[in-house]
Amino acid sequence: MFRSVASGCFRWGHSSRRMVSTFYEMFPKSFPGGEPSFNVDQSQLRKEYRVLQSQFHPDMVAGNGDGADMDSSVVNKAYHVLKEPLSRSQYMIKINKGIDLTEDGQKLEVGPSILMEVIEINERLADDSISNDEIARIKQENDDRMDAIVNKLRDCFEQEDYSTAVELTMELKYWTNLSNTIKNI
Amino acid sequence: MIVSNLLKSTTSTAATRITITQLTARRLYHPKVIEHYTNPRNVGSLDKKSSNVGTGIVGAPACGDVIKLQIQVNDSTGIIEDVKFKTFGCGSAIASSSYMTELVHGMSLDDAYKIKNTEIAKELSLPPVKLHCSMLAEDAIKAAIKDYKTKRTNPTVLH
Repeated sequence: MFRSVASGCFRWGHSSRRMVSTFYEMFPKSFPGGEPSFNVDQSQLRKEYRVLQSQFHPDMVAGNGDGADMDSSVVNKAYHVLKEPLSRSQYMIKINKGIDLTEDGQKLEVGPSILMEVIEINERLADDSISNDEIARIKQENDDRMDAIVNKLRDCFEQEDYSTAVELTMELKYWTNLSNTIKNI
Repeated sequence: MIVSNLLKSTTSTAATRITITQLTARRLYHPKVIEHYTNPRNVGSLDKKSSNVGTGIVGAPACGDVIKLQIQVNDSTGIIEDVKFKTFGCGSAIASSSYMTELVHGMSLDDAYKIKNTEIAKELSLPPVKLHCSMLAEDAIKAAIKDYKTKRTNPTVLH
């Protein structure tokens, strides 16, 4: 297990200091032993985040203001990375394989047929004559497609099949962008 | 009638929202990027089945931007006679592909293949975090040229 991706030193509670090397270790109730996992109990994670947030909120931490800001922002960052399937998957790949899919210049690419489909759907959405029904249908199809990828990712991480996980995660990024495009119509 | 008015009003609200978002985003861009972004050159599609059209489709997995760039080539002179693009992504990606189409129009395939992303980045004054957009545009023209050349070497046999 790679532990090289440090999220920095982070003050635990009001007095003690504790080092964490991954975001997972900040949420021991959601991820027992701080063990990286793609599966997550969202309501447990949210609960644990709220408790942490109240401990690290700048208003609640006396003394060194800079440190408090840092802690609060790290908690926020960690929660948002672990909450969303796309960023959680990117993070799993980063800490396990050292590949940062959020960084440019990775010599990795999804298949041309996926890009073609992304283009075609975007072209439909950019067409002014598109009906609300068609937008709803495209949205539903995209949601289903994203759910299917997340399910496949779950299997990949369970079987430690990182090469497939990398491909699926890159693909998921395109569909997530499409989902944002649909939201803004 | 009522339904159609309702639809119209929904559409115009959505359009306003997009415009506001875009305006906010635009402030972060260099004027040259904004100029290409608001008035992109050569937007559209060419017939990808046509034997003298090369299509390049590329994407950046980090940001999720996609570019489709198509060239129509004069088979006897090897000159790019027409060029169209469609880009779904950030302002810099749109501006980079728009400027790329301006550059390659009327150019020979060999010269177009030699265009470096730095040329685009310099023209548009792209900041370091947006350099990958110009690289994507370079990848797109190269992919379109390769596609055209593949078509020339392996012409589709019509049965």
